[in-house]
Amino acid sequence: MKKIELLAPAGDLEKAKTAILFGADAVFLGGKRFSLRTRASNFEIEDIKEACDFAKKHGSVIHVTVNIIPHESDFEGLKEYLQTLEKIGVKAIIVASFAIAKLAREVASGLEVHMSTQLSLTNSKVVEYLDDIKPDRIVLARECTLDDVKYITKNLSIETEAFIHGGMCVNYSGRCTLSNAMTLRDANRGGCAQSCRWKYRLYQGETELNDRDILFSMSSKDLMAVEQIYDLIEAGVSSLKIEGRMKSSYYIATVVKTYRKLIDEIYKEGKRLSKERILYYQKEISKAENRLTSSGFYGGLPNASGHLYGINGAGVTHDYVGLVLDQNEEYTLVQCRNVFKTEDLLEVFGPNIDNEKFMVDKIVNDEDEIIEIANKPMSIVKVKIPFKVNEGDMIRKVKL
Amino acid sequence: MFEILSTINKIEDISKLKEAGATGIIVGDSFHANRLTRSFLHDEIIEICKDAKKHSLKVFVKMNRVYIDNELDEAYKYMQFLKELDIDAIYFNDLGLYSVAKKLNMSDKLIYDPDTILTNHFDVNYHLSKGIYGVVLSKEITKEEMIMIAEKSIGKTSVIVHGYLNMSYAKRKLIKNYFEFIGKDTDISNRRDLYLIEENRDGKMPIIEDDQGTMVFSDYVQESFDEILELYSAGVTMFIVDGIFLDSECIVDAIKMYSDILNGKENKKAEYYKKYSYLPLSTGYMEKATNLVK
Repeated sequence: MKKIELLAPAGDLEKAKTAILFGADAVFLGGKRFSLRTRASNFEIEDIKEACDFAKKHGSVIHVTVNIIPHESDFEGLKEYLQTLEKIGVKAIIVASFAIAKLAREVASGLEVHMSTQLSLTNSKVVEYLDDIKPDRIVLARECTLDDVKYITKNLSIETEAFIHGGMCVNYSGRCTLSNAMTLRDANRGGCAQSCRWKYRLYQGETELNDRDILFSMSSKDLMAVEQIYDLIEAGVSSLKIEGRMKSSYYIATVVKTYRKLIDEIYKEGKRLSKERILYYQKEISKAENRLTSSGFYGGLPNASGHLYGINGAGVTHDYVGLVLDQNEEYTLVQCRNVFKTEDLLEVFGPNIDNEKFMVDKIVNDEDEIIEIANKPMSIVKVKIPFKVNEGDMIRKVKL
Repeated sequence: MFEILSTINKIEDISKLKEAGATGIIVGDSFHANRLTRSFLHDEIIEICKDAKKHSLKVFVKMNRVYIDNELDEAYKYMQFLKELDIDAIYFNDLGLYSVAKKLNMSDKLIYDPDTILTNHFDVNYHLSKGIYGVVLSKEITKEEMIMIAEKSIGKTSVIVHGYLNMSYAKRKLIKNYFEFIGKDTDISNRRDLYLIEENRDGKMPIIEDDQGTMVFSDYVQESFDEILELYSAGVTMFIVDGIFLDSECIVDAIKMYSDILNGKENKKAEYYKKYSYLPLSTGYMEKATNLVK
């Protein structure tokens, strides 16, 4: 049986490489045009090509989001863009427009076509409508329960892709234009202002129904499907998708590596993992700068525990303290990302290293002065790490 | 020839709508449709169809639910019921309904109405090429874009010209969940007098929660008195007046206005604005383009 694909997001080339090195089978990214999440779409064609080449070298593949809901003026250059993507080695495009999907079939038949979650696909019959496009895959709506995912996957002859981690639109994707109405930023063309996460007063007639301190909000917790991975594999889902092209390299590294290890362990064991192992993986995921998480719709219609109230929804931690640049026998060169100090207990993780811990005994800055605290982001410091590390490994604080 | 289609608040409105110039009415039940002015029981839909026929009005039925597989059998039964009633067309949102309609030889009765995603003529023609009755254009595009689409369209296009516009549709029960969090025990299901005000803004956005989830609407009432003729000239043939949150008189007056304008009579927009000065009337996106980026 073909092993399930772990699909990770990337907002730039560095993140794409990080995702691949930390275990992603496929990475999805957006070009500067034709893609949602415009702020996370930093890829020029040459960057996409480099990502494809890097992916190929490491046994991974690249998917490109071409998922805008295009207006009349948005089609210019599209045909050539699709042909270029095919030529430079992109495996698949993720599309929300039927016209774009059909055009891709006509002018770039080497590209796989994946129908986006923007289409709110929640049943197995939708594919009959697409018989002329013959998509290779559909990305299921986040509103699907685990049972829905199982049923749809079992009853389709094409691949399904399911979300397993990251931000969740609280509304049916593609059907929400709160951002358009409140900021004139087009949610379906990459401008979503996440107005659902704002705070609102709720009235019935003249009576205010909301709590005065905790206003009404539609903000959803992020999805975390560690508990459901076994079921999704067993259901025959082809790809497990992590959301978050806006997220940091640290987030991507942490989340990708954790799901990589989890998936590999499930395949190795050939059975559902124990509660202890699930808890271990959930704890590993929590080391990324997650919002609070829930299992979304996988367990049924979310109740209050699936929402964020009374906070701005960021909930970002600052546990990622440094990136390994180099190591010799005397010291390790570290690029500082967040504050750490002597006697902090830190751990290193990377593609080939798993949470190795060490105590900081000395920090030397770039002027060869011994310092107590490394607190200048992006400055380069020397620390002693008593075991082998590699360029690109990441260092984070250990939560005691 | 143009069609002016209107949702209805009550069966008794049918004759008034006809008199005002409506050519068809839009109805639905509470399971297969949402965001209706009012949902009707199946027996009531039978009565409405009889009454509409008596008044030579077409009957359009909303089936804009997003279905999961085990709900599609219900959709089949309902469409069969609608076929027996000889309704004129069905608005659908979920592509899965197409295969249900095909089984009943009803795909030519379908109008694709996905709320937000029909924003160009390529996509519009993709759907029309399936042999369906028509499509509803996105509300979030400008009049110029609607005109460009209609001019290149290979079939019938519709535009929502009047009413509060739906902005979001969640399957989650957002108010119930919020009340659960703050410990409030108030039943707000299907109420039509709820609204949101964003903490830094003034606009009142109606919100509904029912068995299908939660829907938020615009803080303004769309009107298109100055735009409808241009749209018609470009090829838009179906104009929808959505009366949700509006009273029957307001709907009837709007239909009379649109009918008069399309029939070459005077545009009395100023009078409508004066009579309904308490409503937040606006031309919405018709005259205001959204941006691509943040």
